[in-house]
Amino acid sequence: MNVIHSLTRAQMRAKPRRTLTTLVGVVLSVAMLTAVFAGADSFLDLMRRQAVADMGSWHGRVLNTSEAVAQQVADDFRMDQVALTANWGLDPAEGGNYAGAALFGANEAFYQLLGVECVEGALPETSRQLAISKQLAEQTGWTVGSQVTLDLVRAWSVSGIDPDGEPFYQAQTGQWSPSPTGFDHTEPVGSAVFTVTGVVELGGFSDGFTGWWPCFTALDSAPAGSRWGAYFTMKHLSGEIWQVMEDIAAWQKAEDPEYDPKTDGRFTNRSLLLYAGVDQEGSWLLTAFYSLMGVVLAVILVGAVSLAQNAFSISLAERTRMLGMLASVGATRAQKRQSVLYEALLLGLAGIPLGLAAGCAGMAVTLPLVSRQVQELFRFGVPLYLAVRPLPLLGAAVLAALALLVSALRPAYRASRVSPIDAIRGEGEVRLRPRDTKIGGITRRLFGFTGALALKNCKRSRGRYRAIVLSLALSVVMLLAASGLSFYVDQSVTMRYGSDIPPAHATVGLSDPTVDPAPLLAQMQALPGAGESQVTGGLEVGQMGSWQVPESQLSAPARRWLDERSEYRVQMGLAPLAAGGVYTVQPMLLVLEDEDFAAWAGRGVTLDTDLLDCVLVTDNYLADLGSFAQLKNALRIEKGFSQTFDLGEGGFADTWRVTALAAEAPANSGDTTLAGEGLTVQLVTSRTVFDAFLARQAAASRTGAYFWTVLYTGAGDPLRLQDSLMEWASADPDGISAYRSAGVSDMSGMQSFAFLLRVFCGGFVVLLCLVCAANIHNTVTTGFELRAREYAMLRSVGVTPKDFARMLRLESLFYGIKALCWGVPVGMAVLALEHRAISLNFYSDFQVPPEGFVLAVVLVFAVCGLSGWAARRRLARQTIVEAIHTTML
Amino acid sequence: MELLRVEHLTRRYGQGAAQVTALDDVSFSVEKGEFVAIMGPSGSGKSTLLHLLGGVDRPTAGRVLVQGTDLYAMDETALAIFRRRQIGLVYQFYNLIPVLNVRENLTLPLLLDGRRVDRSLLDRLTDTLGLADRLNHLPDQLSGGQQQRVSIGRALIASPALMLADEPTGNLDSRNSAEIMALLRRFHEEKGQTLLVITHDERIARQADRLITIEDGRITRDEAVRP
Ligand SMILES: Nc1ncnc2c1ncn2[C@@H]1O[C@H](COP(=O)(O)OP(=O)(O)O)[C@@H](O)[C@H]1O
Ligand SMILES: [Mg+2]
Repeated sequence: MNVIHSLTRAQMRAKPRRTLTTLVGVVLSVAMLTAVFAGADSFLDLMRRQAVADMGSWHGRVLNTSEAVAQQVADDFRMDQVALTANWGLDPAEGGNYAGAALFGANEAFYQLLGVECVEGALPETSRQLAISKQLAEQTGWTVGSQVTLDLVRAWSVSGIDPDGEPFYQAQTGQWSPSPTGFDHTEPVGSAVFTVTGVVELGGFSDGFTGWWPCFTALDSAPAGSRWGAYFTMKHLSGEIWQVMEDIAAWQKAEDPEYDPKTDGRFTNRSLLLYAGVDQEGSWLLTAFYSLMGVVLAVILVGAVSLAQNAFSISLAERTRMLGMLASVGATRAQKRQSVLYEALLLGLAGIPLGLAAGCAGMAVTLPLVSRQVQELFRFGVPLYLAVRPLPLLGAAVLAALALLVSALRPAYRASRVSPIDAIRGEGEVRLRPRDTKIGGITRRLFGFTGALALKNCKRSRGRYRAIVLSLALSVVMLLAASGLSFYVDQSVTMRYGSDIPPAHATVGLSDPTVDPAPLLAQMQALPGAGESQVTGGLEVGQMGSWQVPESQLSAPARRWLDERSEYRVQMGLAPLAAGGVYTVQPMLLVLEDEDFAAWAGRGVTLDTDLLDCVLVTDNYLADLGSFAQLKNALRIEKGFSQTFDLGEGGFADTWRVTALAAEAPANSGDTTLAGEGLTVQLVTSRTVFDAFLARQAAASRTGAYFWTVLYTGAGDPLRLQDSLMEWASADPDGISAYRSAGVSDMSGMQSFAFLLRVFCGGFVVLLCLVCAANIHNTVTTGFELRAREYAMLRSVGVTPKDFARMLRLESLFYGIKALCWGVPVGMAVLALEHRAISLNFYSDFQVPPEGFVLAVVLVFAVCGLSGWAARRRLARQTIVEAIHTTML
Repeated sequence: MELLRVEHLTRRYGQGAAQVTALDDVSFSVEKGEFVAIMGPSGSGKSTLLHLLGGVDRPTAGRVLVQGTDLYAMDETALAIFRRRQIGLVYQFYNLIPVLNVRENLTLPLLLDGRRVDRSLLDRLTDTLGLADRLNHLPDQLSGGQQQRVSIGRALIASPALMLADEPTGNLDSRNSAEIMALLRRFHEEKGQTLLVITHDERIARQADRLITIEDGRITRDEAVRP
């Protein structure tokens, strides 16, 4: 180790706190890189495992072929494992709820490659033993030890007609639905007696079986003429598999007289090959996956490089005098450069392994925690956990090392240029541009002389100033982007499913207004498994008449969305939404129990019972062909608006009136309405008003469709309730209700998505902010320390402690302001992009998440303030003379 | 009239075995308008004394009274304001604020006080200091002598009652030192300022009214200088 190295180490040791902060920043950055790689690889592994669970772990297969072809596959040198099956034939069931059994001889590899698992007893070892699928056991009642006789036939169905009119037959090996034409051709195989030795789960072999259930015996004594299948894994999974598939095709042509090119029986395990990077088709998914990963990595790298580069510049600034002196006694450029590169090396040696470990540990903890949501989102049966191959970890390490190297380049270059003069001249770090020296004017008037001085101090070292502003602005942008994403996704979930959906509900439709719903409701509320519940009711769309509104009356955003949808509809060959520029508007009414209504609408809203008085919900959620919109009072209905309706022929007739407007629908009622059925407006009224309405209709002998719904807001036992709801809904009609319906809402997918988004975006932003905070902390504290002597001088000419504190605080404040000046507009642009992307399917006016901005501002000033405060405390503890001495050198 | 009074001033640095007594029970007083030169070998405690007189350090024991005000009985804020109005301190090293130009560095005590800069005073000062054409330069564009002149100007601008200078010419050649001393004496004579200068230069010491010699943190001689 040479003198430059030991000097560098001594300097790092001399500033333990800063070295530690830098190290923490490096570790965090590496941990984030690692987390991205490890998370992505674990996710790929999950998809691979899911593909294996769905289909088995084989790479390719050929089915319904001859024994010769199967043997050729088994003997091929490129194969690792080969599973062989021989279909003896089918045993059609006599009666019962299933079609029959299909008997396969299978070798040991078969059970492995297809994930067929013995759940009871043992796998067959001879061709007198039989393992039956669980389904077959259930259908037949066979158990381990049963003696069973299978009467086997082979069946061929017509799969096409030859050019000369002859039907073309295809053997049926697992499934057979005898064709009603009677053209099928069967051939008895004979009976065989077996002892059931085991029951198996079908795993990846279950694909395609319904009605017919398989059973398995040993492979060796398959009767001649059996149709064979071969599943294989490659020794080296690569593009070579396509050659193998072609070779198999050649063997099929040559050695299988029954070969039918139309249903060639060859197949690769696509998803498995896709996630292994062999299959290209469908790889847009992986491309999208990797691009997203790329973007995330890029953001992390920007944060990390900014941190590291800054850290190196700072220590270089401290080392300038020392390097200058070394230069004067003959240090070469390479030696001076070494000092920075060596620091990078030390940081990398310590930070990269720690970061790798931290990233893996973080993912090992996080992934199982979010496994349930990921499984729900993708409907996966296998759990998510950390599974990362060495290569991605190596990738993370290399990327981190590169980032450190890149960060060190510029400082190293500058170090190599340090000349003896720099040692004499002092810090030499003041690089004010001419215009920066002219600060004054406005700043001076706003913040006083100390303010102007603070601003100049901010700008004295442009590299450092930029590093802080970039770091902070990056945090702000990422924070806004993440909060926006989560906000828009939440909004979309609301549009798609309503704002707050009860876990379950039961609805009974009635048509006679004289019916007392109490017993019905009591019965519904007392269903087994039900817990807390809430009663609502109402009139459905179409039961309150409709009216026409010309396009011009709609709000502009509504018109825009509806026009767009109409255009799309016309493209799809459907009728546009507006007929001749006129929309049909249909009201629907929601009835709340009086106290619920009062709680929702506020005590101030009173309703008249003489007519159907109600509150209009202005937030309209509309849906049309997979596109969703949130519109604010699209119809621009004012308080006092009223409509009279008469459905005619003894149907409901009354007048409704809007007495108040409310932005949001009551909880648990958020229903998205379909624009295709006309524009819907949602009205809400109380039970008393509704009862009066029903009484009026009854008195006038009018009838119409209305409903009562029980919302199970807090089910005691959700699974039990689900069962009892199914039973209740399908029970025989009671004579008074027109229909019964019940539902259990399933928004787990979207909710899981929103949850995952929050966890990962949140985690990402928090970590990134920490890296940036480390960066800023380093910069601000050293910035202050480097200038300790100057500050002492200021104090000595009479700056009071208050002014002094104010000046340092302003300096931090200016960093924050500048960062917000950059971060907020860029963040807004990112928000707008996100909003546009999501608006393609979920239209809403451009709104920004206010809490995101609040958070960003708080974050910026907290980080700046804390760093400034820490530095200030250290400076203030010194007396003036001490400060002058310590930095004198 | 007594302007400065020092009573039993002691300053120790460090703890235990490493403790150094830089100033050991020093007492003296200085009349208004007096020019005092302080001499002594390196490390004898001269700078320590001057810093304590200037209110930028804290004594271990003893008092410093300037115009009857006990410096170290004031709180930090009051002391800072007192410093900027009553005391001009010139350090051995130039110690300018690198982000401020010459004009701003010169007028710093006034700017801090929110006082208007008296143009004619500034013009005269910069003329005298030979800095008239350097007002918009940053400190690192100046030579050592020019920088020291700026720091002297800064000490003089508020017309403080007490001027303290720590080897103001220590880093300068003889022509520059002569100029600087002439400058200090001019203000001393014109404004009746009280002037304390630390120096190693006999010629400078001979210009003073009184010479205090310090050795090992104690005053060993205190004598009037005959012209
Ligand atoms: N900050 C300090 N810490 C410890 N010792 C100090 C400090 N400042 C000065 N000293 C010591 O105090 C003594 C007097 O120093 P100083 O007043 O600077 O002497 P000089 O007469 O050369 O100006 C010296 O021995 C010096 O080593
Ligand atoms: Mg000294």
